[in-house]
Amino acid sequence: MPFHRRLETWGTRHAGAILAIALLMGCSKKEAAGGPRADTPPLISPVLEAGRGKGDGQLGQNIPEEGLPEGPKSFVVDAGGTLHVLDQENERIQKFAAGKLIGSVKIPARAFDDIELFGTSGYALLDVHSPAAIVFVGNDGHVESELPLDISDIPEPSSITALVAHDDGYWVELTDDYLVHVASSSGAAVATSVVPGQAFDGPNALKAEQSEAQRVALFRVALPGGDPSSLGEIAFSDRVARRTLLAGRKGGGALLGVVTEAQQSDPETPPVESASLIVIDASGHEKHRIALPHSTSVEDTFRSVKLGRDGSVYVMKLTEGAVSFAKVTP
Amino acid sequence: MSAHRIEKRFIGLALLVMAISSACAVQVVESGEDESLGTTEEAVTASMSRGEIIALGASGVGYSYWWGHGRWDPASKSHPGKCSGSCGGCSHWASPKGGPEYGADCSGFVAQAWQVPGEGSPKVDRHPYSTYNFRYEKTHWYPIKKSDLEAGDALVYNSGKKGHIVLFESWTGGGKAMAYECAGCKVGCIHKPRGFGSSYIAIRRKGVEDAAKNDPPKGQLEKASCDGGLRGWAFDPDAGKGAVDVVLTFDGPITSPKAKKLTLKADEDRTDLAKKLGSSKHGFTAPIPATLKDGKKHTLYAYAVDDQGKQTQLLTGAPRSVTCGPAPSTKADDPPHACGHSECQTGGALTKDCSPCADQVCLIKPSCCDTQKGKWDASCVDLAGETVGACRGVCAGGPSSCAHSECDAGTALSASCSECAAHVCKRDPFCCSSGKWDFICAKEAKEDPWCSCGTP
Repeated sequence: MPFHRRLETWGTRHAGAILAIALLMGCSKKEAAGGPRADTPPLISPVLEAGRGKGDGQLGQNIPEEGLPEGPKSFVVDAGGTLHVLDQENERIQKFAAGKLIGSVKIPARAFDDIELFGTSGYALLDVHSPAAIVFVGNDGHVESELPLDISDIPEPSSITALVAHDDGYWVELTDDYLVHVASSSGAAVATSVVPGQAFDGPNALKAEQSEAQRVALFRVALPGGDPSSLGEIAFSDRVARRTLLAGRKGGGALLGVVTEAQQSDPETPPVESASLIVIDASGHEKHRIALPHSTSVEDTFRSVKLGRDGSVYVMKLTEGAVSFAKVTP
Repeated sequence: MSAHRIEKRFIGLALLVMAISSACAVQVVESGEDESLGTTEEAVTASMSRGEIIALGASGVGYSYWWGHGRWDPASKSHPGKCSGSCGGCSHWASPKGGPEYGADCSGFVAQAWQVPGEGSPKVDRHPYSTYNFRYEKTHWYPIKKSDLEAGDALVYNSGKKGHIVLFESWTGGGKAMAYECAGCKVGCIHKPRGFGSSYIAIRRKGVEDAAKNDPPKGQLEKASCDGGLRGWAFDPDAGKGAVDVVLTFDGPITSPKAKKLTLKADEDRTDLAKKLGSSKHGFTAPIPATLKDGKKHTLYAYAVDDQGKQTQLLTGAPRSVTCGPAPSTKADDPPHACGHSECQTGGALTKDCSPCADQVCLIKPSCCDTQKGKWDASCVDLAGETVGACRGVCAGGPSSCAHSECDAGTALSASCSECAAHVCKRDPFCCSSGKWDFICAKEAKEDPWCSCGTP
């Protein structure tokens, strides 16, 4: 049965829940063109909706006169499913479980861009602005150490596009393209090494790159120092505007987040964007294509789609008045 | 801005009022100097190159966000200014105190970088346009498709309540764009990758030549091994069958001033590429430079250069970390290596009689041969790397029968006298054919990773 038919069948049985999710997240049920058949329907469930503001449980700011509204730049989800939101505009990390605020950690007043977990309960915070650094803080927000990112392999820290935690420590992604190992799990500097990909899959690195306007090519690279082997290409009916390779999956597959845009003939009319999560199997074939909630607010997030340590994919959506999160179980 | 200039019939007065009151939508003409700013009534836009726009935008990076303003000193960042709070209720002041007050908001920044409505010093404050103007008017700019964006164009949105505008530089691998922008009170004016919501449209300054469509080059670094060397291909769709250059950089990307760079031609015949690319002479191979075979981890980047020499594209499969053992000495007349380790590697202290080079190094620095308290540290390696006396060629790329060091000027060398000379003469045939290995040849050798001249 085609994926969308299954989704409809499933939707009929769960009409109330679907309606609630759709209302809450503004998510489109439209399946991206070219999508494959799915084995099982994906499950998208709302996790949190927070208003904008400085109050407890609120996130970011939305000041009408501000040139840029500033929502959270990023977030991380721990193994227990607790959502840790980098609310850098309010100089704090807010922790949510089961949709409720369970804690807040004051962090230094810096323009942090990305967050990962550090140790048992601390955080690694990436600041790509001058002076660029990864700041390691404890569970109460006190700075335990700071790692300056002034190494020859990163001549322009402003071109860092992600902070990635891995078994052997912390890596940064450069220009959405490749990874540079910068710190051990304890936050100490390490001898630089690079990986020609954006995510890890056990002993391999995975790389996604735009091969043509409407195609993303996937490669696998055996580590360390292996040569790239092609996994195939994923096609889209519209131009690929942005893509984020989230992670490898057990058995050799991958998860790919993609934003496509349908360009209008009139350049004064902005293109219509849609977001999707592509589940790719070990042989590089597309297994599922899941429509994701997509931000309508104009501000730029650093990372709006992340793989939680609980194995689910989480999506942050910004609107003019709210910041919401949904969980996708592919 | 006056109402009669608004061409959109259905934009209400409320929208106009909101636009005027928004942060990047404040029209401030606050020169304080005599310089003419031109007038928005004129649609004549002076010509400006994309490089000039980007250079002017780059000169504003590091300045503070100053709501409703636009001025900075392109020659010095000694007074970046300071912003605190949330704009429009934010405060801005000169920093360091006592100097000129510099900074810009998003639209002030782009107006200065674009030099619109007329040419003027970026040091003179002006804020002639709001994001509303940039979004809905076409005085000195016009909308283009996002897919046609080129360096120096801009992306703007204005929703009536809010607006923002950034200067586009290039797309990143993930579809974000490297952009210059004055992004807010907390971060100021920055240069970094960012995504764009669907509200943004692309605009192009008038008077900037529309470049012919230029597809980026592409290619792959297929192999990188200590023994097999480097193998790959590079291709530029705009160049057709023509070969493009590949730039290899070591221990840093192409933008790193510390990285050593080497240019190759991707023109080797590879029949397997013909089906994929339409022609076959796009391959390249190269050995791992001997200077990297020191047992240490090195990073290797490979880029395809487009046919116009303007764009570089990191090859798929790059960058790569490689760790290769010390290059074996291949001098036929070398005595067997009696040292505990190579003179080109750090380690325990060596004995001065283990090799002439060790003897020379320890004459200069005895601790390198003090087996009780000393060690063969980086300074000993540096001394061994010097291309004089007994150490000459020991840590260099390979056998050398050259009449003099490639790192020094002198008589012309033969391309076959060393790997280093071969590389230099491939790049610059003058060095092996003119009768003179001049200072330029020596300089090229110092910059060539296949040579070992120490730090240039």
